[in-house]
Amino acid sequence: MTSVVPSSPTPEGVRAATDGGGARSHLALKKVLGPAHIWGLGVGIVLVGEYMGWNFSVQKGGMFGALIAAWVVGVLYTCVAMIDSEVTSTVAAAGGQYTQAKHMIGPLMAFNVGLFLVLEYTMLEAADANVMSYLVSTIATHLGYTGSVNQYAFIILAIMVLAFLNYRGVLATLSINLVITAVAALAIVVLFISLQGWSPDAQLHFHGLASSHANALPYGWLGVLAAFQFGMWYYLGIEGTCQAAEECRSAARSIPLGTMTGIITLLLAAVLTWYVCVGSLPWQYLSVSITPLFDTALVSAGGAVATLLAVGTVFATLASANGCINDASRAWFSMGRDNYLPAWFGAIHPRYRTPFRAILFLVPVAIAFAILPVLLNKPELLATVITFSILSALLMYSFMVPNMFRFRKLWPLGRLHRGYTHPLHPLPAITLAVIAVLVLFATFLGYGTTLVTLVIFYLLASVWFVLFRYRYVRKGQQFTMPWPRPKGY
Amino acid sequence: MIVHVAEYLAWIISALLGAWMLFDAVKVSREHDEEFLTTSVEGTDELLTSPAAEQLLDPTEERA
Repeated sequence: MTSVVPSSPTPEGVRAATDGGGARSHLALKKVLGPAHIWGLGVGIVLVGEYMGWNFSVQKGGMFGALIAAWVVGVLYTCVAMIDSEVTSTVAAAGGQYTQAKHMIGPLMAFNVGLFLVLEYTMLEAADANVMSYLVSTIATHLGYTGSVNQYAFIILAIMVLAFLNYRGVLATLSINLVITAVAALAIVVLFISLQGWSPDAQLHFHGLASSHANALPYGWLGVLAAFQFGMWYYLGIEGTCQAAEECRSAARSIPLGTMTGIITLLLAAVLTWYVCVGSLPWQYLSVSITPLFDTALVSAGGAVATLLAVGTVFATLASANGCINDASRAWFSMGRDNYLPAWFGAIHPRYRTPFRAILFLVPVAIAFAILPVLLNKPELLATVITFSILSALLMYSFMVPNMFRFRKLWPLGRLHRGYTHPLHPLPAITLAVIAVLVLFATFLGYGTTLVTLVIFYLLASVWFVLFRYRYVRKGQQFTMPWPRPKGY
Repeated sequence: MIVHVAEYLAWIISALLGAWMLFDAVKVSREHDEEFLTTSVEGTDELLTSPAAEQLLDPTEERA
């Protein structure tokens, strides 16, 4: 392995480093992010799921089925956040879970995890852009426009503006994400306060809307299990915080702080969202609503609060797409840097210090998946695109279990300094494994064909990697962090 | 009417941004050596290389 001793970056963004005996200069991603940016990135990707999508769990499991899904899947994501916080606090590298797999398991797993990440975030970005165009249509209708809005124009505009922002620099990108995510999160709190949520009988109607068995658990425990797949929406993407590790001023501090405060925010946002929506809308309506929080505000609060929730919906959608571009490009860039993909993708912009080619390359991919449901006039394809994202994430969480065991085995506590050490190991890893299998099964019940298609895709991609790319992987040279040797090596 | 104007604006802004990014990417690739653009390595963190962190590690341990 190559040993690299870092020194301070020069104003031109060129970092000097000694590599073996000779000195040379190299480009590096800009280290400018703090814990607040990490919070904005993680919560920003996810919060759109509170504004739309989680409510389909009501369709599957009823009012209380959706709440149980929020709790159980919340435990899954708490485990994900804890594990990621510990491992990534030691791996100050872009690529997140891909880089973890590279260090802990091996090239084939790393390649697959990298693809899971790119697909998860690119599909989510495509869905966000599609939803954005829907929101524009809705706003136009509310303003009295009766014609049809050209969805292509606004899908492409959303992706291009956010890609441009990402291209020009990570600090502005994630600072904007922080602000719009905070506004979207506060809007949920404002809705709770305006409905006097602390007094369940004041403006909310739980007794009439959710108290009978037919409303609370209409399909019994099987319905609750089926609700798990949509329970993912409350938290999907919080693990994206790891992608920014290489751009943090201190990954060991920022990643655990940003990720753990992020999951706490999301757990609170999930139950607040469930609470205000279930107390305001009948389950038959709530389960098919496209924008449940906005609808709740419109029906129960109205006026300025409804406007705030409309703004929150738009902001949450933009923040999610923005964070997804950031994360997908870092994963793609990292794979290029290690020659898992053509090294051309591993380039950094000398002025903006962003992975500019990876950002550009993924733009047409996201546009293609975003316009597909419009092009084919099949709105239901949007659900398939989102399911691709959810399933890729689930496959990645399954990898995190052996990864965590191996991390603690190769680098036990005391052997490698950690910015955060999660408690009760191996309980979080085992809990993660059990719930991930349950959610995979639940998703198989609803989207069996999609799951099988995706697994076949990853198998074919793996064959391609072994036959055509593995020979180019930079074996030992891909490990450049000053870690002690793993135990037993 | 406003919606139509917004649609045209959306197309124009998208085209301008796309063209600028493409132009800039080509320009950067021409102006700089490919080897230079792809020289980044995995990051390090000051907590991992600080004296405090060093004390936590086994001083006899050989670095990878």
